[in-house]
Amino acid sequence: MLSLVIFLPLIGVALLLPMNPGAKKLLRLTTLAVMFVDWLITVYLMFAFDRTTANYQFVERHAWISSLGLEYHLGADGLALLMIFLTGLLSWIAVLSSWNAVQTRVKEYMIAFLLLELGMLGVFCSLDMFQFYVFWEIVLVPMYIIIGVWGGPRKLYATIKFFLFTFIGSLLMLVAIVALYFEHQRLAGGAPTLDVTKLTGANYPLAFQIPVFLAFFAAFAVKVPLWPLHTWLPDAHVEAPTAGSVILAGVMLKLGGYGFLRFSLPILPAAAHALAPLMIALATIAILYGAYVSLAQRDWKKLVAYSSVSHMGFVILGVFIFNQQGMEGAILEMFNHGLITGGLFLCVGIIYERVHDRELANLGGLAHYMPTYAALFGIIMLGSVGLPGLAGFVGEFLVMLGTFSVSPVAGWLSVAVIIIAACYLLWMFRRVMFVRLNTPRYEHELIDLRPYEVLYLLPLVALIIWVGIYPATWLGMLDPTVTHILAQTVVK
Amino acid sequence: MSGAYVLMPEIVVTVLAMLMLLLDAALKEHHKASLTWVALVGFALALTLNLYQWGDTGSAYAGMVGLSPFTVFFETIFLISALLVVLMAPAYLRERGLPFGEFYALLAFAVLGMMFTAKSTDLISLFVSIELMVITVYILAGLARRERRSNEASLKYFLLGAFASSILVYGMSWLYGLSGQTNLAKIAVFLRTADLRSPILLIAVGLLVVGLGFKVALVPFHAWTPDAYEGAPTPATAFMAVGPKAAAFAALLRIFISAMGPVQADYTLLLGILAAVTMTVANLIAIQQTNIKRMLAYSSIAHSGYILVGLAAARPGNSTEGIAALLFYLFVYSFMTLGAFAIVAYVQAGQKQAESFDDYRGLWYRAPLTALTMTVFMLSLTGVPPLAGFIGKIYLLYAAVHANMVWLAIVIAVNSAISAYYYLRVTVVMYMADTHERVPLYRSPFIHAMLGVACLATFVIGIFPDTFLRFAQAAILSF
Repeated sequence: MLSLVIFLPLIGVALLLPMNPGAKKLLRLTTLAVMFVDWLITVYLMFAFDRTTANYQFVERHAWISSLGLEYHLGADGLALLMIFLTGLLSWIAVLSSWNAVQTRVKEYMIAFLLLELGMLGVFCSLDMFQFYVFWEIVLVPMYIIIGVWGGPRKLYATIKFFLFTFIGSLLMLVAIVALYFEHQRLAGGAPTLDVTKLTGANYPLAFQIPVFLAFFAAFAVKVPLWPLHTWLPDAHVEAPTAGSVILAGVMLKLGGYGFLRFSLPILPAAAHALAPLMIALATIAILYGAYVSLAQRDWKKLVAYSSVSHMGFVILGVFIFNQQGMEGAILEMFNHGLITGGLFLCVGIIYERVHDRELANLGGLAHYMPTYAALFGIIMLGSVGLPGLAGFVGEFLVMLGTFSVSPVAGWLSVAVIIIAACYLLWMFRRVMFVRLNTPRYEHELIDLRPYEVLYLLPLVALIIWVGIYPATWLGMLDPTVTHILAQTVVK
Repeated sequence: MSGAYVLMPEIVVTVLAMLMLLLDAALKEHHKASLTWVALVGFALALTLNLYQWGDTGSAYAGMVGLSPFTVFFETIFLISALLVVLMAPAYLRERGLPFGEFYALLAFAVLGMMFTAKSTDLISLFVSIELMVITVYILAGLARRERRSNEASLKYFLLGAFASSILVYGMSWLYGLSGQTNLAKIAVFLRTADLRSPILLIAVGLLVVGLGFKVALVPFHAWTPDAYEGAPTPATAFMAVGPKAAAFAALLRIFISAMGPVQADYTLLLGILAAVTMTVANLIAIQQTNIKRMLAYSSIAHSGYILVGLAAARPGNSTEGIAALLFYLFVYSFMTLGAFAIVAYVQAGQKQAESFDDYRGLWYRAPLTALTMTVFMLSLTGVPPLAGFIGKIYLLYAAVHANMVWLAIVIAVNSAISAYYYLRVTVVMYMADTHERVPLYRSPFIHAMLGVACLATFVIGIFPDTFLRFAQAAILSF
């Protein structure tokens, strides 16, 4: 079943390849159909998932490179399934949002997004570290192409920076994976393997764990992105096309958080505990830094990009406080951030498609022209602020609750950021939506939402409200998984 | 085992070379196209016979040549490379008016030299085969007689190569002087009981490393490579980047593992440092290049560095993974590099020079499939999954870490990231820049077939590498 979810986009690519590049509508419809079906399968998996156990479900296992002991091993627990659901959802939404925005080389654009989806789904389901690494790198190339071909004015700088930054981190992780392979064999005996379920059992010496943790950190922290390795993010997000930003912010950042939860913590618990103070410090700085810098932005998209840095800081904070609330909050925050920031980028994209301008100074009083847009954008924006009743609150509250029991300083600082977040988001919303400009630049371009735009914003808004009002549906998937991860993270 | 059986593939290639010379003289100009088919059939036959010999071991001519899975593996690389070069050559040669028959004949003689290098179990036959290979490649590099750059390439290669060959044979003579033997196995027997701190042995090793390091293009013996690669006709460059390099590595392995097995452990640090310096220097210089052939030349120097890591990580008797990694990487490297050079030849065939990055601007718009294939090779050379280059790199990392050379593994990782910059620049130019010229590309079924094979191999070996890994691992079981 998981293989079908991962490789359905490849079938989509096979369908698209022989099509005429000029048949844009057919290309878009086919891609949309394939991705929507893929998402429906993930919805089915959410129903079929057994919430009482932390075991990996829907497991598939085959020998792959038997001469080195590497397997094709898939499996999903609560964390993975939540992420796959998010990936499937945001993928078709991103494609739908590019319906009219992308008119050149549509075929290659759709193929790139399909391959991107394949890579991301593969990362979340992989239980063999070699396989995980293969999918992790597969994600890089389509995103590089998407930013580099369909991006903004500084796309080349942004995309090369993104690629090199992420690539070098991944390569250091690769060396660490190979080292882990041999160390595990030395400790556990028997045939060497990179099976996550086996790697988590061994008790590696601390002197081994710390360099390996740092190598993994190099890869995951760049992806998250954790301050100070975040500098690729603003450029990549600003220059990427709207759909690219949505996927980048919505799913690709989660790969980093997922990596910490699935690999760094369970396999290297001693190092995780030893370096936890550092991680908490960096996370807190990220939360503060992202929020303060957002306050100063003049480019709308850059403001949202820096708010991403701030929100992902909450995720890392929640992971490294090692308690049930914090970790559940972190995972839920990953999910929420995907919905909310994905939604924010879509909203920015809607305006950009109409007026081709992202300068906050040039936009004003949009609510008077686009009331439906104002309503939906307002809900998403309030979700980002962390208003109780919407998704953002639940994740952040759980993380902060967990933080206070570990580090009151970090707790107080992150609570304070809620105020800053309200500042930059509400101020941005007021300026763009309500305050009419003295000399409005754009009037007749500001058409209210078209039906398909409502279609792709509604699922996000609905989910944001659902998670905010009744999070138990989603948290329920995470309880046994988080307990299991925490149990593995206990220092032996 | 009779000499004729051991040397079956070599006999076929010799006949092919002679036949090529005769046909070239006999055939009229417009029949010359059939020479391509003769070459293809000849090399294919040799490849079949070579694979038929898989699993056999034997020796002939008083220990001068030996047959083993090791030689079968290397000859497979040589013959597949030869086939792919023959496929990429006709379009380019025809456009430039270069002689077919001579090209194929020289190619066959060079391949013959390479095959003998792999099969040699004696210092003398090793040297003679290396010379046969290298001298024909000097001529191949200068085949475009009326182009100044080609003459320059050939002359530089020849002068520096002759110097290096003399250093090589000097090193061999020291080894002979020390051991009294030229047979590699007998040298190993001698070294098992010899005084390992003997200065004569150190001199011999040093000279051999320099001599063979030149052929392989290790830093600091690489100075000839960029000029020779840039000036030579592109199909010749493609061949030079793969064939002689693989043969020189075969010679290095023979000497370091067969002959100097007992003392090999002492030189791993030297080899490791040499590998690290090679890959770093080459990758850094490659970033500056604006000519794609020069960039690929520096890239192949860097790959020599990666490949040498396999030798540095080899621990005979303890862990032979290093050698298997070396063999496997050579195998995938041939497809990637031949593919990249073939694209260069393909783009060049329709135009005069077409070697700077500007000539690749907007290639995606005028020839999307070509651009895509080039991207595949560039990504494979960088080491991005799920392509063959990645499997090669990870196997090298595996060998390095297993041999407790984690620092070398980190150097490989960092260098892969550095190399990503200049490999990606090719894709940047192809996809993200545009030009209003729409120069049509040359159409040639041969080169299309060759690119298809190389691209397919890169994907297949990348996604299902198990068979090929086992092939490499089995090849080192008996030298």
